[in-house]
Amino acid sequence: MPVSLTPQQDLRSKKTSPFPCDHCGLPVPEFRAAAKSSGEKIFCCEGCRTVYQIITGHQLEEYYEIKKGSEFFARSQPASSVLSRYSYLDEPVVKEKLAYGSQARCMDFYVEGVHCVACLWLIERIGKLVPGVEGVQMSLGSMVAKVTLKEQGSFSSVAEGLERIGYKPHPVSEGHQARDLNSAENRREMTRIGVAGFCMMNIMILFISIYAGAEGGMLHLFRWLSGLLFIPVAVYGAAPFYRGALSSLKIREINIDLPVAGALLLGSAASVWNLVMGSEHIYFDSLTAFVFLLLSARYALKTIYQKTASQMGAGEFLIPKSALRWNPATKTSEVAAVETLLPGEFLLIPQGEIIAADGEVTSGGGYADFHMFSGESEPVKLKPGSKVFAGTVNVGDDLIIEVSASGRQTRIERLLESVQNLEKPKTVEIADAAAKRYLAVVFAGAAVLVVTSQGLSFSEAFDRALSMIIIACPCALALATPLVYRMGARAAAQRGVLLKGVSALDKLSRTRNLYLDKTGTLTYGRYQVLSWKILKGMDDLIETACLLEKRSQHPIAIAIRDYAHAVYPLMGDLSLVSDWKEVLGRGVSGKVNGKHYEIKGARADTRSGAIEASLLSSVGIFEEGDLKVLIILGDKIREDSPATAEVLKGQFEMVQIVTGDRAESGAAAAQVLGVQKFTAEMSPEDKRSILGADPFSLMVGDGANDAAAMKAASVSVAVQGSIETSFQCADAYLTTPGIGTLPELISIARRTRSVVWAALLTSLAYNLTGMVLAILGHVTPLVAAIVMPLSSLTVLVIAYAGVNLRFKK
Amino acid sequence: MDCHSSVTHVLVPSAVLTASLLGSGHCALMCGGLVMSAARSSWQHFLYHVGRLASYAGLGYISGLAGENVISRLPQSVSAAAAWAVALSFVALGWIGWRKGGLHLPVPGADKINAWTVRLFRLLTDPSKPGRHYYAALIGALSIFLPCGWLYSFVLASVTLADPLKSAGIMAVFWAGTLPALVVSPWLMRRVVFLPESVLPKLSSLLLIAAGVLPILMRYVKFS
Repeated sequence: MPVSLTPQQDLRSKKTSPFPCDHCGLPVPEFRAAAKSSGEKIFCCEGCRTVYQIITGHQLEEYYEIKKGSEFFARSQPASSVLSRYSYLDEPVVKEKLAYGSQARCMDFYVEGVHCVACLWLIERIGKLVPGVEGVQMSLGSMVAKVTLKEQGSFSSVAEGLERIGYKPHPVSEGHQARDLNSAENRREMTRIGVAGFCMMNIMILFISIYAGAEGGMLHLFRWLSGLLFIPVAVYGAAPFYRGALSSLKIREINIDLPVAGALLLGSAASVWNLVMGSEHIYFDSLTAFVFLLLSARYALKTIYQKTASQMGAGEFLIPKSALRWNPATKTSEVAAVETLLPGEFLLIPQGEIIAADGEVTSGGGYADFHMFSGESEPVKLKPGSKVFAGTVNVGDDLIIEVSASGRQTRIERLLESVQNLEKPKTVEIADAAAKRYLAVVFAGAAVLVVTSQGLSFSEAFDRALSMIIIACPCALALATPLVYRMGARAAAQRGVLLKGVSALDKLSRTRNLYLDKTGTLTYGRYQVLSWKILKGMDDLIETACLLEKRSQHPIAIAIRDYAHAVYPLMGDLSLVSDWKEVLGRGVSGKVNGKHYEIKGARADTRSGAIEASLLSSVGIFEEGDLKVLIILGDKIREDSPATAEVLKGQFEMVQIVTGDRAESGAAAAQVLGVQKFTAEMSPEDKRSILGADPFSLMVGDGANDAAAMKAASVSVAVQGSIETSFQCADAYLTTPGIGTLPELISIARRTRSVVWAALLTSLAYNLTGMVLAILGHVTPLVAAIVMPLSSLTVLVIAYAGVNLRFKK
Repeated sequence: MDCHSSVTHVLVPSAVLTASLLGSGHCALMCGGLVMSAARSSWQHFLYHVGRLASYAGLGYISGLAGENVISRLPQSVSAAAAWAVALSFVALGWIGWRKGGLHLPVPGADKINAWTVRLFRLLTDPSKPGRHYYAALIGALSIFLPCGWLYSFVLASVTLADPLKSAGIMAVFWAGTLPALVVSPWLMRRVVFLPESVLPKLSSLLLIAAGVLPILMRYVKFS
């Protein structure tokens, strides 16, 4: 008599205990778990208990021998063990990130090379080879081993031990687990598609024979076989559609699963009835094809979606794909993919490179640009112990940093994730509403068709109604629209534009009037030397000026120093200066090489024109009281601003400069940029009211200073300041300074919207044509089943090509 | 009756093969380790499976004999009643199994029998004994004594075929279905092909129900 069999689905019923069978790892039914408390082994069935008892009669080493000696399962050589390679697992920083459980004694490892039960058994008994192990639990399904240490144990020794017996362990952090869950889900979907495809193809073969004129016993056999093959598809393959339709009914909102499930149920019922009655109107071929193609389309979309989603993070475009992993023992570096970086590892960051992970400087020095986080554009001096973040640039000497967070845990990724705005773009909302009405009409139409069926037999009318419902599925809406927006967002991210959700793109595409802030947006936002004119003599006195201004903190002094450093990278030393004096707000003076110099205000050369003069300050270097050099400084307009302004004028109905600065400087800027309108001396309230009054306004400015105005505008883009503060009021953030990427952003946004509409209209055209043909009887359900996913495919292609090809980088 | 038997000749073996294949995941889990200890080389693996085939077919032969003798040696009216009784009891067992998530019928003395089985196998698979590797076929043949509900439900179902050769044949088909799991790569096949083990009890129950219902259906309902 059969003794107990394996237990039920653990997730659906409560009849299983949470314990795994000590032999095969599957869940143990409750009534068998009673022995667990007494420390005995528990099993899911008698068979497992018996085999376990047989096997445990032997020693561990014997199984190791078996495994090694078994030519049947011969494996490749284990990786040559550099035994120190796991030592980082004992670092407190790493343990903090990866270990969990009471006293942080548990760690998960993804183990490579496990292919059978004996392997599982071996790994779980690693405690016999390596001291300090409390236990190892592993399930074959996920290939993840949970290692629990005793007080004196170390994770590195466990990992080394595993490698020694031929299995490669990889410590698993949260991200991996999520990815595993994801791929488990993908596998389930693929299984479903596989089953549907298998049944579909076999049913098609059978139907070919039926159509070709099989008769008698064979016809009978083929019909029933196809009915049998239909069952897995109807029950298992189509399950997602039934679930979706059910939830649609629950929340009383029409979604696209409803027509699909409706068509399937109607078709199945009719087919089964006709099969039993002996009538020839069976639709197993169409229905399975329908399910298979729909499932495939949904899966294809999901993978694209996931790929673009994972790339949508700033990481893809602001953080490099590879970094140099530094080995402090050997003092060498190797190229490593950014995904593999773990806390506790070291990175070498050469000058000019972008830092790939959050971390702490351990050696080297230099400067890094933190403007994305602090809003300060001044580079910050780094020294050992300084914290750096992924996405910042090392502008000084080579750095060695110790990683504290990588991948999704970096500050920038977490920041972006927290500001993501999930509201639906308005276009999608409109399309959604239209789709609901459309579906209602389709259902009504199908019902009318069946009921009235002028001059047609019932089954013919049913055929046509079925075809109609199949063709009518508005798949483009659910499939293509989100995809297009994601791709638009990706294209934007490729250009260094961070978006607060995809609805930002939609909002950007609806703007007509552009309002630009001046300081910091169109200009550099700080004093710069605009011209250095030698009035008398041959010496440009740059070095002298720099030496004299070295100790002053006045903006003009800083500007002169920057200019000097740019021209002469190596500057002389301060000991050459004597008698140094600063008169605050006026100037500096001192003796260099025996001569007395002063740097103070001088009259501007008025020949350059009054308008330019208002943007400027002018300062002169006086040698022994004689004006030798005239320096003109000002807040320079960015080099790319005029050109960008030209393009923007073509994109917008109106372009205006709004600034709180003096009218003269506003006018000056407007003239340089060729912009007609400007309003100056605006208080924050003024800005707010102007922008609030315009429903098509796009405001571009500084995230910190223009926050109020940006909130009032319909859409706003921040170009300066820290990401955190900017996203509180803006919809987008440009990581490259200036407005250079703005025109592209606008065209991406507009293009996205038009592609969405193109996709929707194409799909509508397809559907209407198809439905008309179905009503007139020219389309059989099988053809409908094949054509409908094809139309989705076309829409997908339009969506993909429309955005991607145009904006490919 | 021509189409009727062609249906059975094709449908039943393919159904058994499919079921066996899909459910062999747990076979790999439970017996994989045993296989490894019983056979070290390809040749020994082959012997193991041959041994298994022999005893599966043997079991099938016996069950077919039982079915044939019970059902056909009795007077007509009794045999019909007996057939009905067998069929209904299968359906009942299957139904109970489906509801409870597995049939576990406590057999008195099962523990003692198991203990002997364990001792026997330990002896056969003892690595220190010389000549152990010749036992591969024997171990395979004796594996039917490992308490495996999956196997037993197929044996039971084959009783309804009421023909020793046919039943033996069906058990051979079942054996074929278990081969990929234990031969090719237990891990790989399990991840790609097999049903989750948790589904097996339901399948077994369905099998029993089908084994009860189908013969009746075949006998009394004419197919057009």
